[in-house]
Amino acid sequence: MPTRYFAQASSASLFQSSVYGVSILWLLVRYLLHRGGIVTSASSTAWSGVTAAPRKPNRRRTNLNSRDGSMSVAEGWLEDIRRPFRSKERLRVPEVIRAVGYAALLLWLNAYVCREMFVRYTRA
Amino acid sequence: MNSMQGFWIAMARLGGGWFHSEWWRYWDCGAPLEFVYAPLVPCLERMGSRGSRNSCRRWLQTVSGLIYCLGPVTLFVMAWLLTRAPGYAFAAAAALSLLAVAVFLAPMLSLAPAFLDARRLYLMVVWDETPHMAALAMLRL
Repeated sequence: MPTRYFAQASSASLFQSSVYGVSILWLLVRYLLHRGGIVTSASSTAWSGVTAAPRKPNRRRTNLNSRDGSMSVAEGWLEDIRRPFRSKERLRVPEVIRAVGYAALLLWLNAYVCREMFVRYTRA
Repeated sequence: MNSMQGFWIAMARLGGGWFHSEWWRYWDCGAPLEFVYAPLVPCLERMGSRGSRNSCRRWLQTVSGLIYCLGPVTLFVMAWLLTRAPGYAFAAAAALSLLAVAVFLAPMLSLAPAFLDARRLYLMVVWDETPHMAALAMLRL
C-alpha cells in the first residue's frame, strides 16, 4: 500500500500517542531494572540470553538471607517488611565500625558548624 | 547575651554545692534547687568551672556546643538501632545537622532561606534552647 502524508492521515489522538510514549518509557525502565538485576520482570524470558547482563551479587541480602545469592534487592526489601523486629538482630562488627565512622563524621560536621562556641567566648 | 543564658550562669555560679538540697531564692520566691527547671546545663557548667580555670560563662558556651554536637549523634544512634540501617540513619542525622525542617511548622517564616540555614544553632545561641536540646538529645538514647 502506498504511504500517504497529509493532515488527516494520522489516526492516533494526543491521548493515545501519549499513552504509547509513556508505555515505551515504562518498558525501558523495566528493561534497565531487569538488566541491573534489581527487579526480575515477567518478560525476562524474552530478554534472557540476549539482553540480561550477569546478575550482580547483592552483598547485603546475600549474606543475610539468601546463601546462594538468588535473592534480589527487591526481594530483600520485602523480607525487611515481613520482619519488623530487625533491631533485635545481633550487632555485627563491620556494621558497628561503619556506624562509629558515621557518628564521628556527624560529630565533626556539627563541631565545625558551631566551632566558635569552643574557641571564641562572649564577654558579657 | 539574651534570654535565659544569664540565668544558667547565675545558677551555676551561685548554686553552691549542686548535689545538695539548697534553697534557690531567685525564682518563684524561692524553691528547692533540685526542682528548678532543668539542672543538667548549669550542673555541667558548675562541674566544668570547678575542674578548670574557665568561668561558668565560658563553660555555658562549651556545654552548649557539646550539646549541639551531641543531638544529631544521638539521633543517628537511635535511628540506627531501630532500623539497623546506618546509611539511612546517617542521612537523617545529616539532614538534622544541615537543614531546618522545623520551619515547616512555622508558616510565618520564609521557608526557602530558613530551610537551609543553621536554624538549630540560631535557636540555641539567640533564644537559648540549650536545656531543651539537651533533653531531646538524652531522650533519643
